[in-house]
Amino acid sequence: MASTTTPIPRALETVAPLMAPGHTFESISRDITDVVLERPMPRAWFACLGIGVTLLGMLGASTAYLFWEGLGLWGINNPVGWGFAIVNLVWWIGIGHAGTLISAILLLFNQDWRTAINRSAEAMTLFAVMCAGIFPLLHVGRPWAIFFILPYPNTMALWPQFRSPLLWDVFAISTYFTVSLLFWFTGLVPDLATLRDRSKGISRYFYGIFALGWRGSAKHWFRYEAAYLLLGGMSAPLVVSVHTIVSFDFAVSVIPGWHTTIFPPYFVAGAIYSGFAMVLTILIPVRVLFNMEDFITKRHLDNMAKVMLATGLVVFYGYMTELFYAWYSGNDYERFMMANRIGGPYAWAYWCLLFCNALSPQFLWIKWVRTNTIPLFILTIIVNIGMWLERYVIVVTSLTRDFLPSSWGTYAGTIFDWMAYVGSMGLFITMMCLFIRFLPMITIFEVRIQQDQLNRNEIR
Amino acid sequence: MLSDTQMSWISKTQSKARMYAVAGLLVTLVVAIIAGAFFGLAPTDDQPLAVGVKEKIFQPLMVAWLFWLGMGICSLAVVMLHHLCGGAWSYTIQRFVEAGSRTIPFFFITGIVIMLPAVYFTDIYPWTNEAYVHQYHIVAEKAAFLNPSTYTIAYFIYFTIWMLFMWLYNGWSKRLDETADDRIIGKMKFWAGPGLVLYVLSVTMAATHFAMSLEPVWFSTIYGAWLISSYALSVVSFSVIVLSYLMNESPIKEKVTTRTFHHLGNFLLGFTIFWSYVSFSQFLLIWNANLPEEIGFYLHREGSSLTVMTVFLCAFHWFVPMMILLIRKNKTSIVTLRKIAYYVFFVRILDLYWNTVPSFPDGHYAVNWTTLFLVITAILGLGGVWVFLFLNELKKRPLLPVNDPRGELMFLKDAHGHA
Repeated sequence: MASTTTPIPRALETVAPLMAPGHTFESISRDITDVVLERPMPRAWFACLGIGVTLLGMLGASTAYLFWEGLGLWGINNPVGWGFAIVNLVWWIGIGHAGTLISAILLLFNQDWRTAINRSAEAMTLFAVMCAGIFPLLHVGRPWAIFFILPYPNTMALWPQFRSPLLWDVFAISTYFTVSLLFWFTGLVPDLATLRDRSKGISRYFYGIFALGWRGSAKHWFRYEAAYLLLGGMSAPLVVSVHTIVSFDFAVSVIPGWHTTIFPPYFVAGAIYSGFAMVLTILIPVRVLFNMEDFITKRHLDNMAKVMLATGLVVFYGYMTELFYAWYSGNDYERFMMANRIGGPYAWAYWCLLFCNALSPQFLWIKWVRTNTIPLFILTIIVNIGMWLERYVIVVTSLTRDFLPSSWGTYAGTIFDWMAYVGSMGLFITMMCLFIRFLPMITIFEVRIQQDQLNRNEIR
Repeated sequence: MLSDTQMSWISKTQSKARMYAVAGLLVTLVVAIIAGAFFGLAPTDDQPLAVGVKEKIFQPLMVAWLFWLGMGICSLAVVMLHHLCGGAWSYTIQRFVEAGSRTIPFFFITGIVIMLPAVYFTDIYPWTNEAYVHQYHIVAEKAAFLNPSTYTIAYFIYFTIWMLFMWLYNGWSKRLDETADDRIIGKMKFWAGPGLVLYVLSVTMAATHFAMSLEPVWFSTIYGAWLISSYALSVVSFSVIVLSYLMNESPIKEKVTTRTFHHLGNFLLGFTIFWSYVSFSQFLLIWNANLPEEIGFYLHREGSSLTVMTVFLCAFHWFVPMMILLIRKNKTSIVTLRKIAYYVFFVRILDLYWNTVPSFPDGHYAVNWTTLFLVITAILGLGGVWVFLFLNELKKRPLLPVNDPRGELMFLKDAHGHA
């Protein structure tokens, strides 16, 4: 046990403690559950929900019209068969990576700071994957026949193409969603019991049902820990596999700009990068609105910003290797692809992307930026935009101008593309608002364990 | 500084290393001369590259040099990674990797003797052969990067970067030991980020120059990641081996717990998986696209005995170590972990063989047993020299940092067994 009187050496100073001082077990439970059970929601929450529901309505309306009219409403055309739908799918799936990374990989890496942010990040993962799921469903054009993608024995002896990464996607994403959901729910059980014990009236029954009879006995904790670690171990490879397979959607082809071997790790890094950007975009306002600065401290922001910087650098490395090896390949089409990105009709998108994803994260080297909410918030928005542009550049520049100039074309999203995209954000915002309203956004019991460790000087 | 037992282990190992160095290099030279003189390949119209005595001598030396180079430069990367992230796993091996990084000048000098002559005086790099470049238009397109002068200049740039950071970090570390001035820690932390960025960029380019260009028609953007993960595997496993011999005495004894091995085992596991991920991704994407300029790499690695080697690597470089390392019991016992580390370290030789030798004209389509033998003897020979120098460096400084307050913190956390 370390003595509490020795001064902390300068080398060990951190930007902020993991948690504000002065908390007790009771104050932790109270502060977190009061958001759900006692305090009225702030006005900003109603505003967000209003925006979310409105946008969700727009998604519903545009989808209904899309089903009525058909895919011609979208901007996809002959050379560009993949447009906004795949761009949005990849963008949302990428965003869905932070949750599991924080929960599973940081769990396996013994990173204490994951405690306060894992719950909301995991919730975000689930909602982002739901948003992602919309787009392939719409893009198939005949969503009522979507079950054809599942390999099931049928009288037509019809099987999906097992060599297509699009089919691997179906398995990867559905597995990812299932395991993430289980992982998230398992982590929720002890907290649901806390909510059950603290709530009154009808909500007591609902929390009670989902708390699965949790009484906090030693046996319960033992099983919980084992289950959580196992699910963590299962989720960790999924973090990598899902976006790897999404990258295969492009990379197994022969299209210049799509077929390059760096894609798997580069996509995974990009996914974590955009996921952390989105977690920060959400947590920065939420921690202020709901007075959670005691639990989500500047230390958390600083650490998440560092992860963003690291993964952002990997993404930058990806851009640079693409650029260099396009030249090094000596292949005319590869070289043309790169020249077309840099100076072709969609050069604006490429340069914006370099600004958003390669240049702007370099500000994260500065501690002031990492620990100040406003510049950090602005940066996360820029990165979110940049990551969308990245997929746009990959999809559109390569498809509009491939091998035969006679079959070149152009592409632009129509109003219906935009409605579906912005509408999916409505789904995301609505789900996030409901999550904050009905479930504890921070893992109560883990923060209490952390408090105990802080008291005993085991962590700092 | 070091206890008697530690010193005696070091000197015993050093005398063994000396023996390996002399024997390995001698056998390599003799067998290479015989093999080159009697079983060489003369240039033909289809195959303009010669494999004579010169090539036979340089081929295994180059592979061995590439194998050990990682022990120098990746050690440096682990030093910087330690200062960037901090961590109990890297704290206990910090002085090993620092000593490893101080061997970079050895690679600089041996590279001048091995790699540069291979460019100027042999046919090993096909892009140095005019007839070959004439045959492949696509290689001529890369001439700005693949030519002897660029190679030489780049060689000096890579080593300038590596030696600069080696000099900085080892200097700071020494000053910290002497002065306990914790501003030095600030510097170490600050430069670790940019240092690692430069490391990754320089190793990617170096991998392209030194190894990828052995097959100049081919290219793969993930290749840098392959070499980086390979080197990381070598360095972590080597550190486990050294730790296992030196941990029974002060100062390491007090700091090492079963959790230390557990962490190191986890890193071995992590890099084993990452290596497989990178290697498999590269294979799947190239195999599926089947493009003429890319598929050659895999066609050269196809054929009875080479296919067996490929399968062997899948099984014994990925599956078996992964399964063994997944089991916690194997990671918490140093005796078991040392065995695994030896295994991982030596199976790396086959991976490096697989990635380089089949690119040589006499290595296509089947395992060239002579070259494999020569690669092993060259690795033992050059490794003998390297291990000798490494241990020399290791005994110059205390086995753990003397005045680094971060060590206490890491130790504290691990001793509590917090998970």
